Amino acid sequence: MSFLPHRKASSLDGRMKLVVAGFAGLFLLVAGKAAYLTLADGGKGAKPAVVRKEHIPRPDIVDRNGILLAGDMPFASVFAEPYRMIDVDEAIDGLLSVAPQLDAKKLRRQLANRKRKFVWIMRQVRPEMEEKILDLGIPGVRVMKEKRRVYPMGRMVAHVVGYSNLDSKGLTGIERFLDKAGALYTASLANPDGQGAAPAVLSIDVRVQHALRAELAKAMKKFKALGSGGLVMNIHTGEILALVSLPDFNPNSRDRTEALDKSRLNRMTSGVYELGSVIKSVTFAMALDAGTATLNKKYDARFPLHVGRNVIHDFHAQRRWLSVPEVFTHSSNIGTARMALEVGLEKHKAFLEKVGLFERLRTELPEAARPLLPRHWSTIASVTASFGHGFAVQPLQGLAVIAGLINGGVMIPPTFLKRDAKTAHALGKRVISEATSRKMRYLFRLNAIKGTARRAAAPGWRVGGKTGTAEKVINGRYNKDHRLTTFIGAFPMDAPKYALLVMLDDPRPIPETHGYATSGWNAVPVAGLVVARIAPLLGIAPKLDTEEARAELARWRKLHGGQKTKTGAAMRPPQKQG
Amino acid sequence: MRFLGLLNTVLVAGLVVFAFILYGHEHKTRMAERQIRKIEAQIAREKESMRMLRIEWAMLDNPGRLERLAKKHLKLAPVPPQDIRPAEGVLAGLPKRKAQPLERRDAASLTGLIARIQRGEAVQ
Repeated sequence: MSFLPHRKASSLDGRMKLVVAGFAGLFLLVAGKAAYLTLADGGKGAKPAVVRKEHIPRPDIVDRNGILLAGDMPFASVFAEPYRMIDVDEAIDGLLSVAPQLDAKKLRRQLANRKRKFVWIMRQVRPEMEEKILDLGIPGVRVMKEKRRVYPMGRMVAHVVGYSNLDSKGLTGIERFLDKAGALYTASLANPDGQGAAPAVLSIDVRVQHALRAELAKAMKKFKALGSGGLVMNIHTGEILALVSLPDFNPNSRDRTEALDKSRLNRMTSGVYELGSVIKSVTFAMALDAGTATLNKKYDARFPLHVGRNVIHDFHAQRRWLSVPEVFTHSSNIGTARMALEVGLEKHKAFLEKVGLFERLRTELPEAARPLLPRHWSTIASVTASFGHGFAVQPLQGLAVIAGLINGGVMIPPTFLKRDAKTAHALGKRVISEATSRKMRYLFRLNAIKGTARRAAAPGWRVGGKTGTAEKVINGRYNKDHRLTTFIGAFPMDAPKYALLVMLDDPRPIPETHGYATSGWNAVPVAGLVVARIAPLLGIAPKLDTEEARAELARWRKLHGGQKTKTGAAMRPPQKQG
Repeated sequence: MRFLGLLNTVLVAGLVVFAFILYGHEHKTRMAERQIRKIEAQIAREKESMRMLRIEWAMLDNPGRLERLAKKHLKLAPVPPQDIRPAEGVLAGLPKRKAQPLERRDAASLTGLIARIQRGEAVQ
C-alpha cells in the first residue's frame, strides 16, 4: 500500500472501517437472535420436536349403559432371532427364570440353529410378563405388539355386534357397519387430536338382552324348537334394546365355521318369515283408519270364504257373525279377509307400501333381507296378505310396523344405535291417526285378556299383543306339522313403551300344551316370561289392583306355578335364612 | 486495527460462552426427551393395562355370569310384581315414629349414662 498516495490510503482505511462495522453489525444481529432463541426462550409456543402418534384404533362398542361389548385388547408376543443371539444357554436360562412353563428342550433345539431368523417363544403374553422379559435384556429376544378384538359378552350379543377379522376389518354386524355404511359415523367418534376414539354407543341393553336370550334358550329346549328369535324395541324412539337369534355363535372364536353356519344366521334381520296372523293387525289398522270398519261392525264368519278357486277357512271356526274385536281375538281369517276386501285392492297395496312392508328394511346391520312378495297383486294375493300368508318379511320389520301402529300411529325406522326422542320424532312418518292407534291398543290388550294371547299373562305388566302361526314350507309345500310361531306385543298397554317379538321355529307339541303347538301355547307364554323379567329392569311399575290383573295373576300361577312357589320360598326375610 | 482485535476477542469470548450455554441446553433437552419417551412408554403401558382391566371387568360383568353366581351364592329371587310398590305407598304405609328431636334424646341418654357412672352403677 505504500506506493499509493497517502490521501487515498486514508480514504480506503475509512471505507474498510465501514465494511468491518457493517459485518460486525450483521454478526451481532445473528448472535442476538441466537441468544434470544436459546437464552430468552423465544421458541415458546412452537411444536415439540418429537411427536408421537398412536395409530387410530377401532372404536370400542358399548351398550346403552356403557358396558363394553367389543374392544381392542393389546397383547405382546415374544420372539427370538437366533442369528443375533450371543449365548443361547444364558438366554434359555433367563427365559425359564421368568416363564418356567416354557419347554426348555424344544427352545434349545430351535435356538441352536443359528441360521434361523425367527422363532416364536410366547404368543399373547400379559403386560407384566412382557416387562419381565424385556428387563432380562437378552440380545436377540424381542417383543412384538399386537392387538386383538375381543367380545367380552361372547355369544350374548354376537348377532348385533358382529365380528372383525385379524386385520381389524369388520365382517358382520355393527363391526361391518363401522367400516362401511357407517364410516362417517366412525370418523365422528375419533378424537380430533388423533388419540383414540369415543366408543360407539348401541341401543342394546345387555340386561334386557340377557333376559330375552335366557328365556328363549329355555323355551327352545322345552318345545324342542329348531331355532328361536326375539326382539325388544322402544316404540317411541325405534331403538332396539335386545336382539336374540338362537342358535348363535361365539365371536371370540378364531374359527368362523360356526358363525358362518346357515342355521346360526341372524334370523331377525337376515331371514324373511311369514309372520302369519300377526299381520292381521296391519289389516285392522288399515280398515279402521280408512273408516270401512268400526269397532262395532260385524262380519260374516259363518261359512268359509270363496275367492276365485280358493277357499279361506278359520283355524278355530266360530261359524257366526263376529264383531271386529271378536275377529281379532279369535284371529278369524274370514273376517280379516272381508275387511281387506272392503278396503279394496289398490288401497290395501298402498297401505302395505306406506308402512314399509313391501321394501327391504335397512338398519345399521348389513344383514338385511329383501321381503318375499306375491308376484301379482290380485284379489287372492290381497286376501291372503291380509292374514299374513303369501308374503314374508324380516321379523324386525314386522315388529317395527306393529310398533308404529300402537305408538300413536307414527312409523319410526328402527335403529341399533342410541337415539334420543327428538331425533326419532324428526324421523317419524305418520301412517295412521292417533284415534286408530288408540283402537289398536285396545284390540291388542283385549287379545291378551281373553284372546289368543291370554297366556302371556305377565301379572301387572299389562301386556297386549297378537299371535301368529305360519306353516313352514318344507320341500316347496306348506307342511301342517311344522310351524313358525310368532308373538308381537307391547307393554304396558295403557301407555305402551316397549314392543317385543318372540319367534319359535318349529316348536313341538308337548304334554303341557295338550298336543297343541300354535303360537298361543308356546311363543305367548315365553313372551310373558320375558316381560315379567324385563319390565322391572325397564322401570315400569306393575298395576295389580284391577280385575283383569288379578285374573292374569291367577293364570300366571297356573302356567308357571312351580316357579312361583320357588320364588316365594326364596323371598323369606333375611333373618330366617340359614 | 486495535478495534478489530478487540472485536475479535469479544466475539471469540462470546462464541465460547454461547457454545457452553448451547451445549448445556442441548444436554437438558436430551435428558427431557429421554424422560418424555420414558413417560410416554409408561403412559402407553398404563393405557394398555387399563384396556385389559376394562375388558376383564366387562367379562366379569356378563349378566349370564352374574345370574349364575347369584343363583349359587345368594338366596334371592327376582321380585314378583305383587311385591313392587310405588315409593309413596310404602312411605304412607309405615307406622308413625314419635316426634322427638334427635339431639335432646341423645343428650338425655348421655346425661343419664354419666349419672349412672357417677353413681357407680355398672355399664353394660
